[in-house]
Amino acid sequence: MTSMKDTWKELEKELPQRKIQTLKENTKGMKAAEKRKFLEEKLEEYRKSKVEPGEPVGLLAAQAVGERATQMVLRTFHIAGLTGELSVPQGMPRLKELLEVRHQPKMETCKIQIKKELNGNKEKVKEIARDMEEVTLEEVADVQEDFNEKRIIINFNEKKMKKQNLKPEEVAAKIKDKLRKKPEKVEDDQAIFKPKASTLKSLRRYTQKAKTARVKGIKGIKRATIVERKQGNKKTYEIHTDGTNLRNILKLPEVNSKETYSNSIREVQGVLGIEAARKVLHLEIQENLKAQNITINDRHIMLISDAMTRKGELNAIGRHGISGEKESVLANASFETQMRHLLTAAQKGETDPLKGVAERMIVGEVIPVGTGSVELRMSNQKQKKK
Amino acid sequence: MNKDTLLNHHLVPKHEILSKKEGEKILEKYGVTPEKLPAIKENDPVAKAIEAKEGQILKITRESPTAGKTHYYRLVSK
Repeated sequence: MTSMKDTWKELEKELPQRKIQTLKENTKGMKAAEKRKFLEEKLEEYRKSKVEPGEPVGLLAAQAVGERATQMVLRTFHIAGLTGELSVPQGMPRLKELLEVRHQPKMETCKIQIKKELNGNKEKVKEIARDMEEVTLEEVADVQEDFNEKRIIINFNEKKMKKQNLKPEEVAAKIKDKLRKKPEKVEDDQAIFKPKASTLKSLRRYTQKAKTARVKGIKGIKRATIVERKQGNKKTYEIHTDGTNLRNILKLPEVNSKETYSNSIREVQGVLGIEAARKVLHLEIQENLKAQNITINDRHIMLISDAMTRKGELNAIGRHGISGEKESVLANASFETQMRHLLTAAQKGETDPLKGVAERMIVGEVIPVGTGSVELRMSNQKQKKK
Repeated sequence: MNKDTLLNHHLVPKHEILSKKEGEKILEKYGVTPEKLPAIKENDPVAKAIEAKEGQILKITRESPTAGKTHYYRLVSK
């Protein structure tokens, strides 16, 4: 008879790690013979619950999400700005954004965790948040053009400068980089630049450039708010931003770079790689649905996010993404913009092997799903052996 | 970006480069050709950080919400 250890080893070959864990916990204190029988039954049960080969899992996932999403359109709550947190579009608009992998989602936000030593210190966190916000010259100074002398006069607003903890020299240095010209004069309340502008029009252009020059903060962070989190009776603070720049935020020394999160899938793909993007996609979809009180089995969403990241980059669901990449002409034509697909296929003289579901349905063949996916064929190898 | 920051981030699972032998074993186990595996770009930040080259297979150890630790394989491609 095999030992208990071997039995577990056998199980580990087939069962996922989490199942093994719960089984180990639940069988504590059972007699060996009883335990063995129990485990055998459990293994049988697991095998039965597995998805059978040929099951159209993609279709099931689409249905699972699609059905719930229809309900969601009807009962998405509309919340008018509450709590200090920034509002991300919810419900259907957000789900669409995620599945289509939009280039500019409505609200991109970073949830920034601060290092443990600092995250209880409200003042310090406030300071970090303030230093993060993007400030343009326009916000701290009055910018004027002197058309006679063809120069730009910047009058600093002392109050605003103080609030942002900025010094005129620093600001002037930033403007210098932007205009590629040394300032003529820098004083406490004024700085004068004389760019190489021959016409008034080009002077105006330089002024616009100076006005929108970033004098402080991280590019892309429009606003940063601090959010209180309670852990037992200890209060901790984290920063939520409007606009993201994960790459630069992770570089900050005060930030806990391990836990900081961004809800922009594209950005995460660029900074942390495709696997991280898949994870964020999964988390975002699930969180979005949860907020609407909808539960969809995790497996469906994992399948969708796996399909979207299969090529090593993000592919949208829809005609430009995974649905448009099918090899079959008829399958492509059965989904949006039929004429275009058929015309280009005719031009190029493409052939359709009729292997997929959609095209087989069109011509009235058995579809390759379930028992239809099996074919009988003579094995070449065995023939050779004889 | 710093390599450690990237590889220790909570969203980034563990990526390992498989040796040729291990890779062949995986392909045999699933009965597929390398091109049929999901891909990861050679210029993916993580692939760059662990210096994976085109044609290698990466083993990714994910924390799955349903099954605990699971393995996923991706082929490094251009």
